[in-house]
Amino acid sequence: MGLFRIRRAVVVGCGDFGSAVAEKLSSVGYSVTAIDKDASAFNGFASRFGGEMVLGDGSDVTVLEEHGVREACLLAACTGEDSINYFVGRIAREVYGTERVFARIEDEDLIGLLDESTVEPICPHAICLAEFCRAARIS
Amino acid sequence: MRVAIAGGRSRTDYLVESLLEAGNEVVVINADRRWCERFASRHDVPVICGDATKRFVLDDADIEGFDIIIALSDVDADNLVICQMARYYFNVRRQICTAYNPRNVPIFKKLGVSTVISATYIMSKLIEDGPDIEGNAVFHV
Repeated sequence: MGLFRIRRAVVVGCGDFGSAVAEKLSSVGYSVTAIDKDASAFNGFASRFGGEMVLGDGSDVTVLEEHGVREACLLAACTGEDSINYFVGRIAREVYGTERVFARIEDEDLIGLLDESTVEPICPHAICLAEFCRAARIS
Repeated sequence: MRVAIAGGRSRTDYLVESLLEAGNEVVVINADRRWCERFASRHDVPVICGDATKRFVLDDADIEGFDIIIALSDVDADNLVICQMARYYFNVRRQICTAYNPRNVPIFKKLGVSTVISATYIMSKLIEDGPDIEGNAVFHV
């Protein structure tokens, strides 16, 4: 029998985007911890999600450490706040050495501050624009 | 020196007065319009009303080449972003970042902020270092 290593992932922020990311990661075999400071974020999410749900401030390093940021190989920062996602993304990568880190960031100037080899930015309005252009056949 | 102060309320009031007395040039950035109006009526310094985590707001404040930016917002992540924006887009030499969570002090330093200040962190250092003979707390830098 070969060694099977559990892949751990942490998702910070469980709005529409964060909860979908958490569910997806869980469905492909990650052991997922989803963190949100608002209990209502977990409403309707709990029944579908197989991972751990944590009520807490995901931008607090103590909370991140208590919930496995050191063991995680993937972290997705999905809150509605650019600054929080930028901060959480950078500490995951540069302080805890998380292998793959994704941060949802709208502000392109803030994305410009990231070294893309460390934190991979996901820019919702840029993705929507690209999709609009594709659908409307505008190049 | 040219100093920009972002966020903060009573601390900003106090800092501006002492910085002006010492002959510095000061610019203040704050997102709270009512606070900005009150502040502008008391001090003769430029006040920019806006979110200092945004590049265009710092651009309006004209902080290119300033000596110091002080980030006083009560959200640690915002303070980090303010300091990094000022450093990388406006060449502000020294960034002083306040941290509400003392555990963010070494983290912000690791992420490249030149100076990080946390009241709780300083307090714990004071206690750790112990009082001197006269019973005054001593802070070794």
